[in-house]
Amino acid sequence: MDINWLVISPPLVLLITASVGVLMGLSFRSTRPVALLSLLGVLVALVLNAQLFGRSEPLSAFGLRYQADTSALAFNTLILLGTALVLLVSFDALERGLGGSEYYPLMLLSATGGMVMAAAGDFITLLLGLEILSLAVYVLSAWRPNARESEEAGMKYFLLGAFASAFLIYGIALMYGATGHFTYARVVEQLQAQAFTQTALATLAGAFILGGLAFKAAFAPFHQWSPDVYTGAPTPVTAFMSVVVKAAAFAALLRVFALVYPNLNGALTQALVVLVALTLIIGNLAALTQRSVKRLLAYSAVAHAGYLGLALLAADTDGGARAVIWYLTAYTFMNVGAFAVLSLLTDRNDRGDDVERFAGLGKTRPYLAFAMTLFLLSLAGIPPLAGFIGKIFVFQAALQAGYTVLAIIAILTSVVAAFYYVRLISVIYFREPEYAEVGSKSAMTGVAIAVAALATVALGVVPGWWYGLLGVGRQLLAGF
Amino acid sequence: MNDALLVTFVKALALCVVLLGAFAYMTVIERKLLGRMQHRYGPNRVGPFGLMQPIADAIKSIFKEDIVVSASDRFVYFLAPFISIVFALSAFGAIPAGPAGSLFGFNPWIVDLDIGLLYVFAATSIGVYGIFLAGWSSNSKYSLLGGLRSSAQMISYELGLGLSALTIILIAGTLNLREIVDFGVWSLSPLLWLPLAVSFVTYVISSVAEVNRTPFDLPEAEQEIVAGYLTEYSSIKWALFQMAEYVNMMTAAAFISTLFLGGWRGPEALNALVPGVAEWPFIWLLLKMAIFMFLFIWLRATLPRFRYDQLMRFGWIWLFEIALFSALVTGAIIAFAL
Amino acid sequence: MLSFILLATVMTVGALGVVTLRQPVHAALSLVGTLLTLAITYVTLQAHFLAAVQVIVYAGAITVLFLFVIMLLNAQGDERAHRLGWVKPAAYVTGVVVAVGLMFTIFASPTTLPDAATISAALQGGNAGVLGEVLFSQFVLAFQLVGVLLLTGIVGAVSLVERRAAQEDREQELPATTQRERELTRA
Repeated sequence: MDINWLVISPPLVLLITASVGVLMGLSFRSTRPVALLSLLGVLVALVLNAQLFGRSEPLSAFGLRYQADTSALAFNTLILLGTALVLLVSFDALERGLGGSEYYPLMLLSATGGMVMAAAGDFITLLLGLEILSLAVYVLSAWRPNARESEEAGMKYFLLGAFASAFLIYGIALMYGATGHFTYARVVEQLQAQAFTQTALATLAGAFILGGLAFKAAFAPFHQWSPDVYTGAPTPVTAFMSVVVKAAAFAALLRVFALVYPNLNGALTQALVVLVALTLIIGNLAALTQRSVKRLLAYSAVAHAGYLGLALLAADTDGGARAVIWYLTAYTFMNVGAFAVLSLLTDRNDRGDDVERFAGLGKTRPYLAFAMTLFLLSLAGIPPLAGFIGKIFVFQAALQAGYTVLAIIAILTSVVAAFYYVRLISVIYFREPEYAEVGSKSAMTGVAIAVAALATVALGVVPGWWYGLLGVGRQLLAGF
Repeated sequence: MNDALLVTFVKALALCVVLLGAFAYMTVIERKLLGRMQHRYGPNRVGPFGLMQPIADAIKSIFKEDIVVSASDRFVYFLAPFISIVFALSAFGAIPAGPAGSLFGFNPWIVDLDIGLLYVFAATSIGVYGIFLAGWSSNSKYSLLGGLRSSAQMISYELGLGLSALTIILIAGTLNLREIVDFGVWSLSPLLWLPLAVSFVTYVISSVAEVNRTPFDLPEAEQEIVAGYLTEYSSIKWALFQMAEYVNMMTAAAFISTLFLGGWRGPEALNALVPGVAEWPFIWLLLKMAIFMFLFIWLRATLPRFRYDQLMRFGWIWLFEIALFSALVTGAIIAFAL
Repeated sequence: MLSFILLATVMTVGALGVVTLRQPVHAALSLVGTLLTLAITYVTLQAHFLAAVQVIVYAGAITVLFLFVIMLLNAQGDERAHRLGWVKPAAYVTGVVVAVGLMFTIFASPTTLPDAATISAALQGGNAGVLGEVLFSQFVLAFQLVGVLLLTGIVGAVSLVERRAAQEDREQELPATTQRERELTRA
């Protein structure tokens, strides 16, 4: 068994930081020291992760059970960046009234789970990564003190998440029953073997696994939890869920779809087509009628899962896999940015996320309003911002893979999407302020917003750099 | 039915009879000892030295009215005492009482499992259900409190128990109770003696808590909750719980002896006086068990009861941590071959 | 084979009991029965270690906690009608469809398992050593990850409870401090 310390160092650093953070939290009244420690840990992990990029030799640990191929490294970069931004957003929000320094270690543990999930080379590691990721987020969803809806969010997410995990576990067990292996490499080997007779069982297993992962990725009709959970959870946690959990889920989906599913019955791909179509339509239409910004962003997150799903259908081509990663990168920055702005407008206990809070923001806080406009335009897919380029990549991949109808649905629904994003922008600039005192100020959140805004613009203006980086060195998804 | 199965069956039956007989006389011994420790005589009226007392008690408890609480959950109410006694009796079966073939040519144990140690743990952990369900099904607040207390206590102290046993498993490298008995502690590096001694102490304390004896007898603390889970039980069902408690005590005593004190083996030095005396079956195990039984009774006569929060704190903060640390140290010593 | 059919029947009846019994304690007991029967099935398959662990972990610890919570909350059977009336029939239909689908796939392409001798040889009499060997070599990453998972669970649970306890303390402290202030001002 090869334990390649260098390869597993990024998640390991997070784990160690989290453990130290738990102990450190006991000796400070303020949550800030732990926050700074966590930020440091994430940055160190980011550096360690970055230096693994572009190496030509295959990187793996524990005998292919942990694979740091380019896809895993890219996803881990996203997870770490998302976590770092959310940590910045939480820095003052926690001091304002959320409290509890265990918040940061839990977030780091969750990110550790996500990183393991993105690099998982077998189903067991995937499952455990998912569970670590989820368990911490269940707790964080219930983090708002004395808030019924927060408790409800935690409970709902936990129960439904446990149910989804059961699906996943059952699927994995059936897959083991059909092939006798857990690692993707061996499973694929078995599936491709001439003497393989368990096709039906393997397909059923694939369906269960798809169901379990679709829950985490919030594909309709498995999205029902997301609006309630997104609304109930503290805003920084919602941001974390919408980017880190989503990135990890799509990392897993990408690997499974690119490697395992092409060898299974085509019905599964058809099932994903249906899921993606439903997700695009339901997500965008439901977002139209929302009065709460958090809920709006929750449905918009569902809709964006649809666009990502579109690229996922082309996962076995290089372009499709790259499109998934690229789109997620853009999505990470613009979504964290939007939630960061929102977190400055809510009150002490993180209440108040209705559209009226944004009324007149253009006059009272022009910089914040400008940043929010930028993020919303990017989410809507207006050129030349990151969201636009991401959509281009996704549509391109889908059309090349022959999903014309689905691509047309996607384009039509993004027109609908533009409507509700732009409506929010109009509220920001063309309505009179309704709340006397609007939210709070925070330098750290400001930094996060600035970074996210810059990245949103930069990715839109020079999309080639990151896209090209994904192709450096080895192939995107490690073959075996 | 083949021979091996028949032999096992007969041995199991014999063990049950012996354990239940021992239970009957343990009650007398306990009462007499308690009497001595409290400057009184204890039972001495029924038969010579009160030796017929258990028989009188048995007749009494069988012929007393068996009151069934009308608001109880009937099925569970009847089931609970049987769970208690069945699992208490079955736990003992894996403990070896002598070398192979020493019981008239048969082996002095009922089952010889590779995982004998885990088997005993498994059987005792199911035994919790008896008390727990008794407390719930009686539909009385005292019973329920007693049941809750006992289950919380047993779960908490099982940690200390398991972790202390882990030291032994680490050192002996086996879960088989016969091999643990055969394992010579003197051949070990003296460094390991300290964690072993610590584990022994934590194990004994946890055992006392596990069998609900004073100072850990909160589930039946009469000043607070009448008789805990036993409150609504009478007649033979009550007697079954008493049996289970004493059988559990004996199992714990035998198990401690087996894990830490060489089980059925006697001191090798005595072989010089009487050749082979250290390998005689039963006698040494019984002797060691007797020491621990005396200890249990002694503790009951000496120590006051814990308060409930003290009990939990002691279990989780002291016992658990110490046992964990000693297992950790043992692991480190073995891993780095100090 | 006969013993397996017998055990499987008991297990299925127990599992059905878990979902159909109204009284939560009965349902939990039914679960205990199912788990114990499963442990016995492991014993008949010579997997002694697995059986013991099954009993200690599931029957001896997890279900005890279930019961503990049920009793602490004094939960009674849920007699109220469900607000979403279609959920129950839908659940039954889904369950039946999944069960039939599974049965179909399994019976449609049956696998021949290796014969009993091979399996027994591989298990080596349910020896814990063999299992440990695999666990700490092939599955060491999974083993460590389970540790991280448990750590996450503990930190999460304790922090949620501690925060609530701290809050209640603060609320209780408040009148005490005001009283102290009052005393100080009076002095």
